[in-house]
Amino acid sequence: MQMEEQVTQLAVTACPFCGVGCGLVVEGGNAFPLRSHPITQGSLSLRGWSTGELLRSPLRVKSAFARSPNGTKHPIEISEALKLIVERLKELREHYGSEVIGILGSARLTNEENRLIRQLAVALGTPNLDSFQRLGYLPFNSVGLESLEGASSITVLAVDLAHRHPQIFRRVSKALKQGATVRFVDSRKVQLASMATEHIRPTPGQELNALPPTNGDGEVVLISSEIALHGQGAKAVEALQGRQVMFLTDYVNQRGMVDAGIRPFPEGASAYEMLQRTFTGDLKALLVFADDPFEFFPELAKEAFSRLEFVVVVDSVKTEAMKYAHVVLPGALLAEKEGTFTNCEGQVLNLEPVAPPLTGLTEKQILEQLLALLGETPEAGEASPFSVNSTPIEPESPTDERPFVVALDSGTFWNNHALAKASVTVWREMRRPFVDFPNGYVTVNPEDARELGIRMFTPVKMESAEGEITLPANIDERAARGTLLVPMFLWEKVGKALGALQFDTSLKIPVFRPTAVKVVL
Amino acid sequence: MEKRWVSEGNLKAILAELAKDGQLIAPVKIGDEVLFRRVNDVEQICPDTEYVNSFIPPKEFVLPARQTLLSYELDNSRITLHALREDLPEQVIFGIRSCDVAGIEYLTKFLSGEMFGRPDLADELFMERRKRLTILSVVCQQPAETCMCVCCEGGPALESGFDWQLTRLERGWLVEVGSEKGWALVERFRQLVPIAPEEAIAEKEERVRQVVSNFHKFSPHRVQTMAASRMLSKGRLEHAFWQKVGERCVECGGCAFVCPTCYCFNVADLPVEQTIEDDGQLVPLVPGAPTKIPTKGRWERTRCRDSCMLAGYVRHAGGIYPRRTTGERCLTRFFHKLSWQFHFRMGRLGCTGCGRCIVTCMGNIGISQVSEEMVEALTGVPAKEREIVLRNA
Repeated sequence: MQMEEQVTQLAVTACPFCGVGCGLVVEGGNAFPLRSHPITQGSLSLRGWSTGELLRSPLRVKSAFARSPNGTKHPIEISEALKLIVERLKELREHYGSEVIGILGSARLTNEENRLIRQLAVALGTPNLDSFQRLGYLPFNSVGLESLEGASSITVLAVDLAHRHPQIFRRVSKALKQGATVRFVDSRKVQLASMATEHIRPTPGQELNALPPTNGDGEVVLISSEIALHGQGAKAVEALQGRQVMFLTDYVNQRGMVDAGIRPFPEGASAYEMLQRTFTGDLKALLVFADDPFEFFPELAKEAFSRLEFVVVVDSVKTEAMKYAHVVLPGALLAEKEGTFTNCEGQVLNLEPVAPPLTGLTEKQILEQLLALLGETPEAGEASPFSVNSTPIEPESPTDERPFVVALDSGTFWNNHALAKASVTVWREMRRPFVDFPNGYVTVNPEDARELGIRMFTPVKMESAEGEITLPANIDERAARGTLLVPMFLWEKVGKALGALQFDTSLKIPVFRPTAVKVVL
Repeated sequence: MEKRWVSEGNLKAILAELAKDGQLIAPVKIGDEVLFRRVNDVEQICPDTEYVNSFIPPKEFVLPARQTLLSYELDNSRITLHALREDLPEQVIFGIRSCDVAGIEYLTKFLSGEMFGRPDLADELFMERRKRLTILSVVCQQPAETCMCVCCEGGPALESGFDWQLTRLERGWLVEVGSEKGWALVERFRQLVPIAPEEAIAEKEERVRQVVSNFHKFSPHRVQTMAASRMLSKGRLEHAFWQKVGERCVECGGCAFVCPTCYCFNVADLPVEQTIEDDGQLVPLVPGAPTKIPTKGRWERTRCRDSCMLAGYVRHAGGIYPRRTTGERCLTRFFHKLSWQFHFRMGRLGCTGCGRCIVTCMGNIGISQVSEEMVEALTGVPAKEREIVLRNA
């Protein structure tokens, strides 16, 4: 052991999962929360507890790779890889123009790194800059966690807190114990439902119409991407004007990433559109920085990536995209970096490395070298504030002909996440739905199931106005009567089949419009 | 048993001697946190009056959160096994608190196979570490807000489990020796640890009485062991009770990771390195439906901390969940901690009253809260109110 040097401060890094920004230490290779950390206060989610495991996961990328002409990959020096990338990009740019290049940034990277990614986009002259980890982000001036602790009333708007943001769940249950009123507006019967003072259960997509008026100054509204992913993002920004809101970001640095300018330029394509543009040949190269298009859009990403002429993937852990990559570069985990990130409150928090980067390089250094090789470039400048206008997407309501509404259930949000796959216990938990339901599932309310005469695993055929799909039933009271819940990882498949997958032109993200269906057995 | 006495200066000298061998683990204060770390300089040690306990449980020194068990090489049908023989160092831990000592004793009882009367089933990796660990515990004289050892026979002082139990007195320290290893240490430093005078023993007893009395007067948390044991052992709590408890569990596993007596682990075979062509998933990783059977490469069998509160932990092959809801899993956890059945088999409660689960729990279902809810279920009167009534009477 090497404890000789007198340490005066513990190196504190952040949990790399949700956006609350828990601080933790790694002691003896294992992560532990700190009692003295203002956000963590001694608690972590299971994902947070696994942070130490990520440092030595077999899924870590340990060197740079380049694809040989025969399709296999061989390790190369990082400096060689960088030269190769610059050469190839210059070639493509000369041949087709710079707008055939797309760049994906990441909410798993620091603020500084995301600023460099934006700088890279400017240097390459491409307007195509975004990230799949921006999905559902809404620009709110979030209140701080301390106002949650002292709140007399909390309104939770369509968030499965216990699964998605346990650290916030902890504060809400504390507030409940201290006598705060908690109103939970969500169709699902999730953990908060029976604890809350009041559970309001609107049809999915109608949450904003059912939102009770403000309870006065002591009220805080909690909202997450779930509203936006149902196509109600811009409407939510409008409806919550003047209220104290905390937007719970999905990824650790989602807010910082968007603030650093990782979002579509006005003339550029969004992440989803970039993939679509590969079909028309308008996009030929993609630089992926710690993003994973395969996480939620496996079908589209597969088609798109096999069409791309040049793919670069920079990540600390292996992802599906690397299969298609021409060059793979090893990244570093947050725990191996210095820098800052912005949590859901909007606090810019410091990161201290608890371990050295596996290859000695972080994404920051890789980006700096890449920019140096590209030569003199114009300054990127500060990104303008992110704003949204009205949303054109109308959720469908049940009708006599189609009495059920299919909606998205983001309780399984983490189940396909690249970092969740890299840790033993987290991945065991996360892969349960894939093992228990190898053919996917749709969650049906037990009473509905009884009336329909279906049991666990009975194939349920759902017919919308635009299409149909059959999935095995998972009977759980999580689903309200008249709703059918689709897990997040089947978003694309079900959305495409039922015509529910739509594009929100205001937020520039794909959304799942709650869609009315008929159940046929 | 005769007790010993050591002056402040001589204790420092002993610790300095142990530190010189590179053996000493002691509490170190870094920023606002206290951690047990290897120390080379006794000046680094945080005085016992300045900390109550470290949040990271010292069980890590005998049962690390992650350990490699063995490694093997696959070459189609040939398997070459590589045993992992670590050269474990002798370690002396100073400043460990009674609750954690009781925890290590509990772990030893289970992992040595003694609980089943089957020493042949001992967990070798644990036992190797345990045998090489000398425990010099220090009796707490000021409970922290979440401390509850008094309720669980986990402190402030213990009868067994330590090699030396030290109590700070007005002048110097009382040394109680609890094992042969402890006597060997006395022998090694015999000039420095003379036989304790009667007054010193009396002073220690008085100090412990004072701590217990302060605990009853000022500490807000209790483990209601009597009520909990009655309710749990006879299965008198309704399903609805556990459902209500379970609703507050977010399945973080934190309670098990910080608990001094929790020993559950998960075993997984991990490739030392996966090729870049793999599909970005750990394969085959955990028991249950591996996606493909590996035929090549070097693998490591790893065990890592696990928690009975996790759904994946209770999942049986074929997708059967004997304890499907978090409520049912809470019942199992608290039954293990507080029921008579386990008390009988292990010789003590499964809770030593360290209070870490109260701090780490996301849903406020630490052991004190749940046991108090059991009292309420038993008597119809909330525990807090009942205590006030008793105190006023």
